[in-house]
Formats: sequence, structure tokens, C-alpha cells
Amino acid sequence: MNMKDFLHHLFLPHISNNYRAKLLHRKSILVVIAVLFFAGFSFSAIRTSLPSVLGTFSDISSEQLLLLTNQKRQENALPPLSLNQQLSNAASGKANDMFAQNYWAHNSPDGKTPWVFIKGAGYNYIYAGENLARGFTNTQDVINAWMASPEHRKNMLSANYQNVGYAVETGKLNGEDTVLVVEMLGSTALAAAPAPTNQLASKTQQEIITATSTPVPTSSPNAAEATPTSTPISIVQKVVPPTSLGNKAGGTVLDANKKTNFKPLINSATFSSDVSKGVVALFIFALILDMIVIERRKVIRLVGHNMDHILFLSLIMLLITLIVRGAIV
Amino acid sequence: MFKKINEHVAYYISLIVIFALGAFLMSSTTSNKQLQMLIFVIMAFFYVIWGVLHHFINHELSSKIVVEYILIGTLGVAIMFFLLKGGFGI
Repeated sequence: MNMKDFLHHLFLPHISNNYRAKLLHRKSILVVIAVLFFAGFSFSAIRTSLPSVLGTFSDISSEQLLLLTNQKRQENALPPLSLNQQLSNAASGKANDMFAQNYWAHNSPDGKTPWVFIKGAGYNYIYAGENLARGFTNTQDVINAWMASPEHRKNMLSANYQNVGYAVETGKLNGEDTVLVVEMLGSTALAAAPAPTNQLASKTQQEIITATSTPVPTSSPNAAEATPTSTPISIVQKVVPPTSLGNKAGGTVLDANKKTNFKPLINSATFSSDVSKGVVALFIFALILDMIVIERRKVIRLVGHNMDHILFLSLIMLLITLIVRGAIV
Repeated sequence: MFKKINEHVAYYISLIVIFALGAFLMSSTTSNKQLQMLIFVIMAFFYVIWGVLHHFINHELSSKIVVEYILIGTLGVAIMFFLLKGGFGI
């Protein structure tokens, strides 16, 4: 059997396959199911034993985040932010804390707000804010996601901020290997906090507080807010990502979930999603061909409705896209 | 082909409602891949039930068809398992 006959046998209803594409035979489907389960377990084992070969990584960098953020600010006639080491330390501490305590929110389960990390890092803010992202593979997608969210966008385009710090950490959160991005924004002087020049920087994202007061978390698990006090000073709050590890602001936290940031040979998330989409596309293709050929030849068979399976597999294709997509808070 | 689909419009609408609900639930739980896996398994189960009922109501149900829906449902679960276990280490 040459390649052409083999493909014909595999994808087209024909006398050689009893008028049902071979790929759609019960035995073929069973083989594919077994291979997928085996591959899932194997990949998981390889991720653990050989993380340099198969693992989670991203091409996100602090430099690119800063560059793209400042581009957006420039487009909106706002001054650029400067990278601040203390805010970067605070961001790293927050990311590590999320991994260590296994949470994905602005406030930790024990009530720690983002401001605790910022103050702990020695940054005496007047205004401060936080954006979080997880599961993204490149910087542009993170920036696009934040810009598409009104609240995150407000933080990025607030005229109240002078400085920014970033942390990009890889680790296990909620049982999932992921990359966390923490953006901490702030300013240290009232002079740096002019009135917002555009409507994005509204009060809904910022609270006026005294410089010495401690922000109090609100009821929303994903947004920390500060309690207004007598002195007009600021704070901002925003996104939260998961993390674990040492809090540079307040000492180290044992973090079994945090992993070293290095680039494995294969990005498991991207590779698995590509393979999954390929398998789904192959079956949809075979089902459509089968449906068309049988309809034209008016062959009578006792099988399920191909259209049902096509809809089900199309849903899976959509879900794969949804699952691989990153998240922000 | 399209005539056949038209005859089953009500069934397909019910299927799409099940899928839309599942997709909504999965998009609402992006930070918990284990929960997403569980939601998908339930969705696949409903798909099999829906397929069997569909054929039963139309008096064309056979054991072969039941097996076929179970296999396609299991194939979907296997694809999701591969993606979430192999890709994200759940």
C-alpha cells in the first residue's frame, strides 16, 4: 500500500475500510486515546525529571515590559516610568509569596496586601499600584491583556506613577506550572502626582490616603484598597498573580513551588496545545470528508451523526485556545 | 445533508447550550486547571448522554452507536488530559 492509498484508507470511506474512514474506526480511536493518555503521563514525568528538556518558560522580560509600558504611556502623552529596584524587589517578593501560599490574588490568604511588599522593600510610596498576570508566553500579550482591561489600563496609564518594578517568576500554582508577572507601580513624592490628565486615571482605581497609613484590603479578593485618611496621598491597587518564595521585603519564605527561571528545550504548554489542536483537526477533517463522501454516494450505515462529533471536537478546539490563554487580575 | 441537520435543529440547539455553558464555566476558572479538567469530563459525559438520547428518540439506537459516542467522548477527555497533564503538569 503506497502513501496515497494509505491516506485514502485512513481518511476516506471506501470499500477497503468498510465505507468508514479508518481513523474513525473504534480500534483506531482506542489507539489514539491510549497514546494520548500515555503521552500525558510521560510528559508529566519528563517535566519533573528533565526540566531542561520539557518545561514551562516565557519570553517575558522586565526590559520589554518597561519598554512597551512606556510606549503606551507615550502614546497617551504621559511621562515614562523608570525601573526601580525596590519595586522590583517588592514584585519578586509578591510573586514568591503567591507561589509559597498558593494563591492568585492581590491580597494573600493571611491578609497581606501588595503595599506590605512595597513598604517592606523600602519604597516609601505616596501612590502605589499592582498589576498581575499569569500563563503568558510573551511580553506583548501581557501588555495587550492589561491594556484591554479598564482597571489594569488605568494603572498603566496613571499620571500618578513615576517608578515601576517587575518580577517574572516560574513556579507551580494551584497544581499548574505557570509563569507569573508582577508589576508594582509607585511614586514617592506628592509632586509626582499631578491630577490625572485623562479619564482613565479616575478615582475608581486609586485611593487617597495618608502617607503613613497602611492600606486596608477591601472585600474584593482581587483588589486591595487603601483607607482614606486625612492627608491626600495615594495608592493604587491592582492585579494579583500567584507565587511563592522568599519575600525580600520581610525575609524569606520556604517555597517549594518556585522553580528556577531557565529555558527548557521545549515549552510544554505550547507543544501540548499544538499537538492537541493537530489531533482535533485531524478528526474533524476525517469526519467532514466522511460525511461528504457518504452523503454523495448515498451509502447506508449504522453510525452516529458525524455532525455531533464535529461540534464536540470544535468545542474542544475552542477550549484549547481558552485554556492556553493567560490570565490577569 | 443540510435537510438532515434541519430536522434535528432542536437537538443541536440543546447541544450548543450545553457546550456554551461548559465553555463559560471553563473560561471562568482559568486559574484552576484541575477544575477545568473536571468541568470538561462532566461536559463529555453529557455529550455521550445527549448523543445516546438523540438516537434513542429517533429510533436508531444500537450498541455500536453507544460505543461510538463513548469513544468520541473519551477521545475528548484524552485530548484535554494530554493538554493539561502534559502541558501544564496538573
